[in-house]
Amino acid sequence: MDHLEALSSKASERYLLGEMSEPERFAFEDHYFQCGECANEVRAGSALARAIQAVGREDVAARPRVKEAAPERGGTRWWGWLSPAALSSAAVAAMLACVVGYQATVTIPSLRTSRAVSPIVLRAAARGDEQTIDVKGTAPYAILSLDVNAAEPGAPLRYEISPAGGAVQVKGTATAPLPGSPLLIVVARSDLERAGAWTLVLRTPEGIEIGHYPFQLKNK
Amino acid sequence: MERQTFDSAYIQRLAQSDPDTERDFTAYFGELLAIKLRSRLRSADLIDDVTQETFLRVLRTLRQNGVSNPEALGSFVNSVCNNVLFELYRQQSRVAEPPEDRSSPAPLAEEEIVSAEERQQVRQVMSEMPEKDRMILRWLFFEEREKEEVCRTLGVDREYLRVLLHRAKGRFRADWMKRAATKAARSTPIR
Repeated sequence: MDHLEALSSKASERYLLGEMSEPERFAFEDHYFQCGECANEVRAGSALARAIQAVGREDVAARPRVKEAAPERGGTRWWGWLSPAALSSAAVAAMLACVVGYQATVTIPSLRTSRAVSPIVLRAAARGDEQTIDVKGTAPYAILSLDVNAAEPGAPLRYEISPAGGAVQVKGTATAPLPGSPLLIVVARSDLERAGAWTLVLRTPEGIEIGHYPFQLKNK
Repeated sequence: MERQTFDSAYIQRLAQSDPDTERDFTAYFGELLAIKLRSRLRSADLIDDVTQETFLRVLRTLRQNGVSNPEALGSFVNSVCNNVLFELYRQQSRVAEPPEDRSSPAPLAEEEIVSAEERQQVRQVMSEMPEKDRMILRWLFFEEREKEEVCRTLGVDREYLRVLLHRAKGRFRADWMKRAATKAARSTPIR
């Protein structure tokens, strides 16, 4: 390979992107070891790639660490007696009417008091790094925490959560958080019932994917 | 660091074990060999072994026989490295327990040396890019996504990736070259 051929075929870019066949790679290496200009192209490209990796690692390291909270303490639920088996359907309907009426007018005590909830931290896709999460618990919802690296703070986003090969189970809109702050998404546990592979995808309002968070769901 | 002129005086100094010339030689070719070998070997130890073996063979040849064409020093280093690499491949296919080529848990020392200036510069370069282009570079080089997936997801073709890399590299290169020149003294000593 000569210098003109290297330039016209964008050899240094294709080399760095891993787009060359093995013989072509050897031929280009033979050239750039001899050609100062092409060697500098390859070195600069390699340095750029390493710097992007370093910045990515730096951003990941700057994320606030969320400690796994201790499991919620077990105990007798105050509504434990309220099982369908214990009540006739008519009684259940009447009771539900009372509960709904109460909720409509009075704040539920457990929501009026402060409580700590441990979010589940989702990582962006990286090769061989699919995480397993467990959403078991007594709270009726799970909080997913994720870093948004490809959107300006305040930018509108859409999120979709779906099982592998399945339809979107959860979707909604959000805005990109400030640098260093995670985006928290509250999801009803009942929406995450199927164990197996799932993906949370972040998109721009136009539908362009900007984040991909695959995970294995271990559930029940 | 800038490429040296490889003339007969340079070769002579190298053959006479001049410390400054040896440092220059190992720094310049050490970087090129690392780039070449990283695409073929995963183990940092193996990459280092092949690099050191290449240097030893090149210097031994220079001291014993010299080279007929000093300007072809780069080509000679590359061909010696190819020989060492092929020997390693043969060894791996022949020996019951070939040298392990597992990726190292720790990054290569060279990879760790990404200065704060370089990180700042790459942030600057990326901040001047459209969001989609920033995303592409991050997906390619940090998240290591497959190029097909990147192209499909963002609706671009392979040529777009090459042009984008070419532009980003162009913006990054000028300042990086200046800094690289000042780091010339930091080199891998020959064992």
